[in-house]
Amino acid sequence: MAYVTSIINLKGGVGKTTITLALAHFLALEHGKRVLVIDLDPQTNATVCLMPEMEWKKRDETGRTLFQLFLDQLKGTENFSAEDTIVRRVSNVGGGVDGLDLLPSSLQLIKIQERITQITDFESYRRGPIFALRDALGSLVKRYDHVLLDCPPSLGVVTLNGLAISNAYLIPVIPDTLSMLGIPPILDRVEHFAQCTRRNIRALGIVVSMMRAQTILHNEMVRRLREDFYERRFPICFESIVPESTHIAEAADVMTRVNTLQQKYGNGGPYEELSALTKEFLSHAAR
Amino acid sequence: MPRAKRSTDASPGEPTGSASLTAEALALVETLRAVASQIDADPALATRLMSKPTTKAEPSVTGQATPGPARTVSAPPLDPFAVLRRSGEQGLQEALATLDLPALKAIVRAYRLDPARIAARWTAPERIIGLIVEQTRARLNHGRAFERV
Repeated sequence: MAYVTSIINLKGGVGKTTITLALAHFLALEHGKRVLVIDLDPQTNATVCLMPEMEWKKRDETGRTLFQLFLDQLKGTENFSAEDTIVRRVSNVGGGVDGLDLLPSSLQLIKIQERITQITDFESYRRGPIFALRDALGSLVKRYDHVLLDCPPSLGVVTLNGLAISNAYLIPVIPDTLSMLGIPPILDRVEHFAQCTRRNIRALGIVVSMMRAQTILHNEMVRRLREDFYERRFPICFESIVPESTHIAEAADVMTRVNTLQQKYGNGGPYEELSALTKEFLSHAAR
Repeated sequence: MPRAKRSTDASPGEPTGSASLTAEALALVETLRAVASQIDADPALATRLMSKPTTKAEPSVTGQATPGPARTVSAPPLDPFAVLRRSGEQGLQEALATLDLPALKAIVRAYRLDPARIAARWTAPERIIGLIVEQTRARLNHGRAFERV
């Protein structure tokens, strides 16, 4: 049975996509897991980090992205097929990774997001396409060991579709003042959603990303996450920390030639941290 | 000289050495951090920074393909992006074909066309030319798919 994890934060630019992609790669290549990445973010960043953008464009123009799923909800049509939309063996590592698949997003989601929101009841969740993704995927999820959802920086209908199939969620944060403010509303709203839809959605933990170890602010914020905030019923903060790194930034380029994860993420620091993060993720998910 | 404002984000008991630095010194610290970060990302930069500077007595680097022992070229002899824009893919191929291996590798390094350094041990110029053309084309076209939604 697949373990489904949403990677979520209300704040943008905190490393959601970076962490989703790193976990996907390390789970598939270092742990032999079958992984499906679902890119729910209309910015489509995870998608174009895993497949060439022109290839994505062709798929988008022929209704083979998540845009079609939500368009169907508005039009009452049934043109979306998860089977046809999933892209197999994605990534630039070795020309494609066995067991790493992608359900691509679309920039076009931006055009219909508001209309989807208007037909949704955010208090009881009894009206609106909250379960469209769950219904479209059906038993297909069972083919995977892990499903990772890269969520947009909001708790709108698209994100709720991700939560509606999730066993757990992970919160990436930059250890600075503003990123911390986004955590309590996530905990609150996810709990509300879980109660209303009678699901158990576990807060797996907080992952510190884009850490600048030489700054006092970042170190102090990590300490607060591990001590002060934990006492205020925050989820645990992972021991592994994703550093700010040129190698990690460059890893987003799917057109670069690489054969190994060490080449993709750079030998030493970033590679070691991301490898450790994945082991820690698996350990928490197994509890 | 004006003194920098004292830092207030140091924890009790933590060294506050940077708080007494001048604004110029703080700027230097930031610059050195940026340089360190670049060296971390590109080990070849460290080699270049530590190598003996070229003097006028040494032969100038043209990058033209000539027989002789292998040498290291630091300055890229051409900008592949400018050539591709101006002369197209065929023009870039032709321009690159006139260069020797060290010159081709200098282009790869200077424009960071192979961050994973998988081409570091390649010795066939055609392979390097293929890499340069492929990566230059990919970067010039980067984001085209996003232009019209």
